[in-house]
Amino acid sequence: MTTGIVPWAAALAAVIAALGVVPVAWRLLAGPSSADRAIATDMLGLLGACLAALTAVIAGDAAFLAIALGIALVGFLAAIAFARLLERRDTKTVERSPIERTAQ
Amino acid sequence: MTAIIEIVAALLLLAGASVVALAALGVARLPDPFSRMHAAAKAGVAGAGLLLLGAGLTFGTTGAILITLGAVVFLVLTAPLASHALGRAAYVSGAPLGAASQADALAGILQRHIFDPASRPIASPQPMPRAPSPARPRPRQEATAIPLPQAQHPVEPMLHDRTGTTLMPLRRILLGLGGGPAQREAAAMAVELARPHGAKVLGLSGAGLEPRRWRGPLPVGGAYWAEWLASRSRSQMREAAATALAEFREIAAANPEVETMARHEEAASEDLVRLLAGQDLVIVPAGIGPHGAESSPGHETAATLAAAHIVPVLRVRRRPTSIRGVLLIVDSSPGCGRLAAGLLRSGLWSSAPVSILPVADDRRGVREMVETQAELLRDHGRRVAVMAPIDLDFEADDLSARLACFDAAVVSCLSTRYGGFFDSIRNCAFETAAESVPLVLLP
Repeated sequence: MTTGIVPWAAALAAVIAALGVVPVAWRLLAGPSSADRAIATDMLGLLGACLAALTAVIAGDAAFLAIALGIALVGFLAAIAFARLLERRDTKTVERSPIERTAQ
Repeated sequence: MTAIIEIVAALLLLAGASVVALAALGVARLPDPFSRMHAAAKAGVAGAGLLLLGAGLTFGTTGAILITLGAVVFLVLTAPLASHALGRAAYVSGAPLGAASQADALAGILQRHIFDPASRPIASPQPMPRAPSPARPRPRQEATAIPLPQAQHPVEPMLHDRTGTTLMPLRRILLGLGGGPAQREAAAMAVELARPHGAKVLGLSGAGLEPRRWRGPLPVGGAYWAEWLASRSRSQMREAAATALAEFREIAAANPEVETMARHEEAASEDLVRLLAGQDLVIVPAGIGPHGAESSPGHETAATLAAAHIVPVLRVRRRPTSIRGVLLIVDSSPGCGRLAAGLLRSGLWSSAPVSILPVADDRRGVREMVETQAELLRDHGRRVAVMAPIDLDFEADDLSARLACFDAAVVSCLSTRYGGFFDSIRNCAFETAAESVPLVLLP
């Protein structure tokens, strides 16, 4: 016996998860620091994995689950790469102290 | 059976989607990058995990369940790593801490850059190269610390004395009115030092507090508590300042021949720097942090002001009747080579004998620093004794017993972290001295 609620639940879940993309995208655009943008990118990856899984449920094709796994993989690597980039960029362009800035 | 599984799967899907959406809301609304990362890492992974498990259950095949389980395990394993790396990068790149964070536990451990350096230029009388010190200027949205730009030497006209060590005339003394048990002694000390030199004493309270300037989005519910904490610490600070001010007025009234002035500032740190730059000596009561609250030696006002290298700082715990001996503590931390010069320049305690205590003299440069400073002091006609060196892992009680015969110490900082194995050696000669010696000069 099947109840038939799963497609409905999946559709509702997809709407909720898609609504979740909006604030994250706003954070990605608004920043203010690049760390915020990296975190928003990481969160977008998670949302993408969720949406891929929901696509699998709605389309009835288990192949989309592999996409969720792939997005999770790439998201981790992207987060690490962003973190390295943030640290390295900041060690290169060393900020000057306010006193030094006025000296120029 | 399938019906139950379907219902469970549907519930998992809905629950996962809701938690993920809440995490997304958290990423947008929480006040600082660290709490945003917290939302993304924990709620995000929990929600995505639930949702993936639900999707796997819906298919019911072994392959689908294995793939989703694999994805969940992978997420749970990697999310802490990724968020740790991102958090560290955010801290290093100087992302502002939220108003609710009362202290920066990583201050001085990780190097931190300035984010959003849109501050006004400072009218500094003489631009100086920055001292290479781990205490960096901090971003402007912190409530508890005083971020100060750093200069190398006091910026004041100096009198050159015969051997080249510059001597500062003591004309303006700034007295920090932070409150606390040592405040009365500090005020009395300031007046006593000012009397023979004819110096002016300026009592200053509450300076260097950042006004609340929050540019980010308001946190859900957190804004109330952040505001509450900030206003509570402000009112505590004002009470402490009022008590200290009353005591200072009393002492000033008892000594009418010393010119005194009192002032309360709740200005930004740039203005504080302008005030400090005109002074010859800053006298600060011991054990008091920026908001008039008790704090550890590493975080109190004296330490923060000394780390800025603008003016020599005298930390007063108690006022001795006479100075029987001055102690220089020399270890391998930066600034220890300039202690003798700082003592001579300040002109304080010119008749007291000086002892030099080397700490861990097997470290590079410590012996040289001790010898050159002893020589410099002897050249200036001081009686100098070099004490037996102590190890890094000394017993704090033994050292404070040895320090009991000194009334003043000259140190380069109030607290330092020794490396050791995994920071296992935690005792600090500077802290021990700050606790047992009544007067500490931080040149």
